Amino acid sequence: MQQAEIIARKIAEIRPRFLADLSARLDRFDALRDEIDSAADARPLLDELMQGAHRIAGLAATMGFGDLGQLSRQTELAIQSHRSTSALRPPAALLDEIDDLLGEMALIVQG
Amino acid sequence: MRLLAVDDDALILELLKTTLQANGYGNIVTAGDAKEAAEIITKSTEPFDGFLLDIMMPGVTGIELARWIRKIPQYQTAPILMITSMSEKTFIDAAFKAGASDYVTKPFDPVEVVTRVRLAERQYQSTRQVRESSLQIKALNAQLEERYRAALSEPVVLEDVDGLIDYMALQNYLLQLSRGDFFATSVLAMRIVDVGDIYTRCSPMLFRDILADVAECALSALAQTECIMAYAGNGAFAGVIAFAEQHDFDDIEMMINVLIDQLDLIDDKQQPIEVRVAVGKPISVGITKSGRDAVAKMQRAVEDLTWNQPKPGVRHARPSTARSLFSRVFSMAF
Repeated sequence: MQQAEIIARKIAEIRPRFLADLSARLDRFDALRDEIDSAADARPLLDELMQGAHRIAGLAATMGFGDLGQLSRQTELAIQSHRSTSALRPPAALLDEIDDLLGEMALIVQG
Repeated sequence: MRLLAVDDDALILELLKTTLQANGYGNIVTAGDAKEAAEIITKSTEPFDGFLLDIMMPGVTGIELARWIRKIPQYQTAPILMITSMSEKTFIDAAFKAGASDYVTKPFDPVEVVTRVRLAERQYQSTRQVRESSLQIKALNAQLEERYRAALSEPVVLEDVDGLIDYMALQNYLLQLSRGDFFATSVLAMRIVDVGDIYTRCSPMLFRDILADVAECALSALAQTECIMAYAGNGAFAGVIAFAEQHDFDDIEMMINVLIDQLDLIDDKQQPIEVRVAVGKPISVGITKSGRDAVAKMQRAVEDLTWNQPKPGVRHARPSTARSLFSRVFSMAF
């Protein structure tokens, strides 16, 4: 078997597990997003979102989800940049960015 | 090549393992975090040839793990590839400072991963070859030292010293002289003061070099005499000299020591080493029944000088005297 074929088969084997992880993560992200709206200090919630986005960004493109990979990366960087300030709540632009990611995740999970 | 891949994402580890195995790297061990990796490294009886470390992991980061690995002597030069996403570029500097050799970006391209690992493997092999060559050189040096190791008392042959002959040959020379020659012949002994101390401080090769240096200085100082000289062991030199009464051996001793001073001899630790030579009074062979008696006289002269205390306060030339003697030696030599 060719090396590329072996790797392609492995990616195909891993993809359903990646999607299952993504689905579970989407549920968690939705819950975090709701909490952010009402939290006086959203920083711990944003940290968790950032770590989750980092995990998705590491594998999404390899699994064939290039747009998801890019959006997760952007979200991770945007949260990172916001977290370097002392603001307790995220700006609207960052919330939009998070929502875009959630939308892309939902699209993939729903197939 | 035995590799340890560390990432908190099990799917990434699986993909990494498959990618590398498909490209001939069959021996991949994986760990889900730095703590598990450290345990594997510590307990492993078979060493790893390289590491792939995710930078951002919960708890101990890949950077801290890289720093820890580098502190293990056997992994000081082993390749450490960091697995990083583009957003962690800021961590790259820290990773290299911690000892990383290279990095692979996530989401990783399987071709890139294999290329990086191959590159790391090549670099590692070349480093290992250099280290092995250096070990071979050290082993050869040790063999060479061993070859030159000799007891202090042994009259070793000092190669590459023009005019210095083997002690046995010098004895044979005396045995060949006719009775008539003996009247004008004297035997002479000189020795290095505190030679035992010098012998202890120096490697066998360096000790031989010092003996050769002393022999060359002595031969230069004796250039105007008809002296045949040999190394007799125990830091002593024996010589057979014609018409010894025509020469001042106090002057010759000073000349030898001035010449030795010019060499600025150092020991194996690069510390200056004081080498002084005491020259005994020439002993005339005179009326002797046979060459064997002459040989016995020479041996006695050497032994007397070797086993008796060196002359009290071996004469050191004053700077002005030293300069004048030095120029005399060189004017004689050329």
